Amino acid sequence: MINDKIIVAAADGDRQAFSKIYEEFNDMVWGLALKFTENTQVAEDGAAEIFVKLYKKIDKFDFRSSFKTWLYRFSVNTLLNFLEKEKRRYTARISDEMAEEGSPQAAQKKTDDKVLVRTLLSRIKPGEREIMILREIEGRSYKEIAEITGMKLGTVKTNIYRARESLRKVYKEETA
Amino acid sequence: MRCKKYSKKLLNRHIDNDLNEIKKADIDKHLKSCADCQSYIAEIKKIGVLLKTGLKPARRDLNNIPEGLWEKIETKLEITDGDIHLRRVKFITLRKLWVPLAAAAAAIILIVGGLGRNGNEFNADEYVSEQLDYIYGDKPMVSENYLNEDSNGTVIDMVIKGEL
Repeated sequence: MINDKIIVAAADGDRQAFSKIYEEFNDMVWGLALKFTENTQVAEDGAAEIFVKLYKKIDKFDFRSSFKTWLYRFSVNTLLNFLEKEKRRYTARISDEMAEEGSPQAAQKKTDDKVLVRTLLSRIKPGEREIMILREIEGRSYKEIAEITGMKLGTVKTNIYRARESLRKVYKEETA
Repeated sequence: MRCKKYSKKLLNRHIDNDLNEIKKADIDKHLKSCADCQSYIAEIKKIGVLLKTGLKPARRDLNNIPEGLWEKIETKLEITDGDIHLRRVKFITLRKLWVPLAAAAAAIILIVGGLGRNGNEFNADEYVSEQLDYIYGDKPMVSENYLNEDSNGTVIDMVIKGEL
C-alpha cells in the first residue's frame, strides 16, 4: 500500500520508493494506455512515458486528492500529449497491426471510436477534460468531483454542463 | 431554435439524476412531448457512452503487462536522475542556507544599528577633512609604521597593524 512517506521519498529521487509506486499502479496505467491506444506496442511506450514523467513530476502532487485519482488524471493527460506528439508513428503502427489482423470492420470501428475520443478530449480545455474524465469515464458523483477538485458543488454542476457543451460542439465538427 | 422551457444546465442535471423527484417528474413529462429537449439529452448521453466505450481495452491485453516495461522505464529514469538530483540539491541548499542567511541579515542589522550607539561615531565631516589632508597636506597616505622596507629604504611590503 502506498503511503505519503513513499510518495515524498519518490519525489526526493528514491528509486526504490518509486518502484513501489510502479508495482502498485502499473496495472491501472497499463489499462489506461491500452484504452487510449488499442495497440500493445504503443501502449507500452505510452505507459513508459507516464512513469518517466511521473518520476519527474511526482513532487507536484499536493496531497489534496487521493494519489490514485491524481495519477489517473495525470496519466490521461500524459497519454493525450504523448499520442499527439507520436501521431504519425501511432497511426502507422495501428495500420500495420490492422493489416496483420485482416482489418475486420468491428476492429476498424473500435479504432475509429478511440481516435475520435482522443480527438474530442484533446480539443477541449484541460479543466473540462479533467471534469469529463471524472464524470463520464470514472463515473464520479458531483460530490466526489467537488472533493477531488476542491471546487464548490455549484461550480462542479456548471462546469460539467459547460464541458459537455464543448464536447458536443467538437463532436459535431469532427463527425460532420 | 432549441426549446427554452428548461435550461441546458438543468437538463444535464437531469441526465446525472441530480434533481428532486418533483423537478425530475416535470422534466420527464415535458420530454414526452418535446423532441428538441429529447434530442439534446440523447446527444449528450451518446457522447458520454462514446467516451466510456471508446476507451474500453481488449480483455486479452488487459492482464498482460509487458515483462520488460519496468526495465524500459528504468533506463529512461537514469537520464532523468540529473533533474531529480538538481531539484534535491536546490531544496537542500535552500533548507541549509536559510539559517546562515538569516544570521547574516541579523548581524548586519546589529552592526548598522550598533554604529549609532558606538562612542566612536562616524563623522562624515571629519572623514572628508582627513582625506583632504592625505591628498593636499603633508600627512602620508600610509603610516610609515605600516611599511616594511629593505636596508636601502625601498618599500617591499605593506603590513596593516593594529587599528586603522
